[in-house]
Amino acid sequence: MRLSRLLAIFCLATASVTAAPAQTLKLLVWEEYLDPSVLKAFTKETGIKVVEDNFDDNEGLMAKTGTGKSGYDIVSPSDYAVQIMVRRKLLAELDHAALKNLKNLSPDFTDLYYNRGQKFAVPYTWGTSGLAYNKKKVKNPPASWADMFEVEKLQPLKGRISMLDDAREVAATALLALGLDPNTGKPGDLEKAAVLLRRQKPFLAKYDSASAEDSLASGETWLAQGFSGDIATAQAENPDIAYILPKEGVSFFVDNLCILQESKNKAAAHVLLDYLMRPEVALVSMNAMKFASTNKAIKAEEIDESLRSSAALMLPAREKRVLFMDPGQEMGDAFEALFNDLKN
Amino acid sequence: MFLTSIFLLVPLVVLVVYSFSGSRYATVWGGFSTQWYVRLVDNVELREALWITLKLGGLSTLLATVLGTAAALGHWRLCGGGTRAVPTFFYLPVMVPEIVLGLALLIFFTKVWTVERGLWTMTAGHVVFGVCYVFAVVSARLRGFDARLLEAARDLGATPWQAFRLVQLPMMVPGIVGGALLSLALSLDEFVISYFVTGAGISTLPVKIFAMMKKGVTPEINALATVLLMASVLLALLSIMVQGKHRAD
Amino acid sequence: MMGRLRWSWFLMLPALLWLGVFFVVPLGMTAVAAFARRGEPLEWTFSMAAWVELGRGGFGVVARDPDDAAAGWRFQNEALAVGWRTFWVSAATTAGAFLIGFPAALFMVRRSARWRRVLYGLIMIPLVANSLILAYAWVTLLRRDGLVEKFLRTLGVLGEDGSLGLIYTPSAVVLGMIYWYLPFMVYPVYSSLEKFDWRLLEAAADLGATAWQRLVHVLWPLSLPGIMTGCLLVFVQAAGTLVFPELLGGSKTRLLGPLIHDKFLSYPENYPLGSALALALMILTTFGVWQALRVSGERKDNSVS
Repeated sequence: MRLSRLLAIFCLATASVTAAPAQTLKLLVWEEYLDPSVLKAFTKETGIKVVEDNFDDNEGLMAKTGTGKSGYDIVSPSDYAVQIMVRRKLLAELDHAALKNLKNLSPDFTDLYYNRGQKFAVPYTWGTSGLAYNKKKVKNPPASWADMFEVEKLQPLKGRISMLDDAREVAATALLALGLDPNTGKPGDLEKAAVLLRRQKPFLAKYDSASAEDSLASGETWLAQGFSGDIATAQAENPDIAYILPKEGVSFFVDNLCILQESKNKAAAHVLLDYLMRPEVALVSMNAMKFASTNKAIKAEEIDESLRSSAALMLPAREKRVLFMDPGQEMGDAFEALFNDLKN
Repeated sequence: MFLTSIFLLVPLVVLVVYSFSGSRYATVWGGFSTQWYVRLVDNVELREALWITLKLGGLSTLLATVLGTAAALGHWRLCGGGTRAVPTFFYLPVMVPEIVLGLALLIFFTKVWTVERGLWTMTAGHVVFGVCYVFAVVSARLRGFDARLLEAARDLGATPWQAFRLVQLPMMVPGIVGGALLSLALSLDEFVISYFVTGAGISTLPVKIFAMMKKGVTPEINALATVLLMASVLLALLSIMVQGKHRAD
Repeated sequence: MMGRLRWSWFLMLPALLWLGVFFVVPLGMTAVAAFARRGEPLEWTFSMAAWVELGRGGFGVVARDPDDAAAGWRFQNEALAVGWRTFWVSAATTAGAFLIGFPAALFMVRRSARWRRVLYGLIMIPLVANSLILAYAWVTLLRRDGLVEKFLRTLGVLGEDGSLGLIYTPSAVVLGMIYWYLPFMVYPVYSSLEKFDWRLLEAAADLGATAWQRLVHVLWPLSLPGIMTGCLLVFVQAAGTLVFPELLGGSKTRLLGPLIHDKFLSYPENYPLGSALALALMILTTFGVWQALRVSGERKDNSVS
């Protein structure tokens, strides 16, 4: 009965492994958000262990934590996702006494509609989703979203264009091109947008949020809607990549750090949040991940030189910034339906 | 067959060759380099994921093998070697698309039996399909077993337990091993069910690989795949050797 | 005798219990959830809302592109459109896997034992290598300016700027899936061919049957159960696939798998609608299973008589 002995050993081994470790914070954050070295240094300083998982769109994050028993402590929703998660009572109120470094945040990002007074969220990074293109390949670069729906302009780039795989972001480009509100509550507006997007689709290589910058940098695609930080990464790899903020306005986002209501480690979570707001810590992630920090205590000359002139730090004029808002369940479905219909 | 071999082998060759690419992009060649293997060794997250995958695979295979073998034996005793009365019930999970099983378990673990999702919820799902495969393989093996051998053993003075252990069990072993290996192989590579019922900070290797892929694939993934490929080829060779040896016996 | 029976049930009990709790009950709850009210994410109150939503648009079809009649038509109803596409993508995958797998199994089974083992290992490779990564290897091959296109350009088959335009299309998805699911076709076909008595073919030849007649009237009916099992396994898995449409299809065309995924793992979640879609998928695959069983059953009866 050697087998049974083997089994017994195996059971013992698994039992010893599942024994509770020291205090551990579980993070569910954007990919390309925090530099791993930052978390390592945090563990070294405080003894609190950190485990990181990633998501690649707000909708995925909200669904994963929406059941209220996800097991995570800290999440990094964008603006409108914070609004929705507050409505669904998923976020814990922040204890400002434990967050001394809140003072480091730039007022540009603290006084936004979803987060007056930083009750539930610490704004941490910001960015835009504009248009990036390969200067060598695109002779007649677009200047506006409207250009993205003109057949003659798209024709030479057929099969070399990617748009984000994100219902809100894609719908916004068409709505902006039409002069409509990207936060529209009218299904009729979406129908108009759908006509444009349907016309554009045959020219696209793919809808892709996660590796759009890779395809762009490697030359597989030539024109892409992309998040500024990702495009900055592509620019660091390939100097031919340029980035523009289309003139109608551009989707502008602020990604936040929030503590989940369900977290059993709220005190430790506050310690990590405060740590991440130190300028020297925020700087490390910013230089490595290339998403702009909201931290005003970072000195301009400390930012990587290449990053300073990159897509990441192109801040649109105030009136051109489009912040998404909670569309409500009905309009949320409508946005999803628009995108699904586009894929039919 | 020649074309089929090419069809089968080319992606693998690409996979292995590109793991030695110096470029950051898994789809672009950038000169010979072993840097991705070095990185792989240093990647703590992947090591963690590998460990979870092995734990999950071991645990679910163990359970599936015990449950599946017992069930196959029970079924054999009930119906003898009859092939007609194979309970379709045990084959149902294989006939259900993985994604349906995944979401059904998600509903179950969030709305019916609310638990924190993690290793155990994944194990629950993996055992479901593991049991089916073990049952099928062991049943097939038992079908050729002559029950009169047991009677003969009893006539020669063996207790029922001895008759089982000394006559029937050895004959079942290749089936049990085969079923267990199949269940293990499927568990190690299973993605959809794990993806639906995984929990915070618990990523199996396939789930982690999927996440890495979405970030943009570096040849590091190719390197990982090459290592895994070698490991599974070794495992396969091992199982062929074990089964061949039994046949020789 | 009673004791023996009780023992047998006792042996089967743990497995039955496990499948009961973690398979039957969850599937049952899924069926119930399809008739529940959509909350955030689900409330156990009766509602037909999911089915109303599922049926929206009816069976009508609309032009794919109002400006361009040549673009063809599509179902207005989302579930139908996606279900229809899923059906033919899975069917194409099954057909492709059969066209490659059947000759391969036939070839294998006629070799010597050692050869057989080598070939068998070869076919099983996609099964043992991580499948996600293999999908990505296909991207490397098929992408614009990828290896296949470069190769064809060197051969002169393709112009300097020519492109197959294969990547990020349903065809690429089908190709990837054929590769992935091939073992599930070959294994059962091979097993049924292994039991095949080859003297039957000789007998048929002696009786004057042509090669084609021998294939259609002797080999085919007798290997049909294996073929059907293979087709079934491939079809069922292809119908529920999740990653291929995303990686090889460029997220441009919706299949049922990703659609269902979004109803559960993307805000705004809709568990009832997702469950209803899952039931639809089950109906689709059960239909496939039933058809396969019917066909192979009929053939078996024929061949016996």
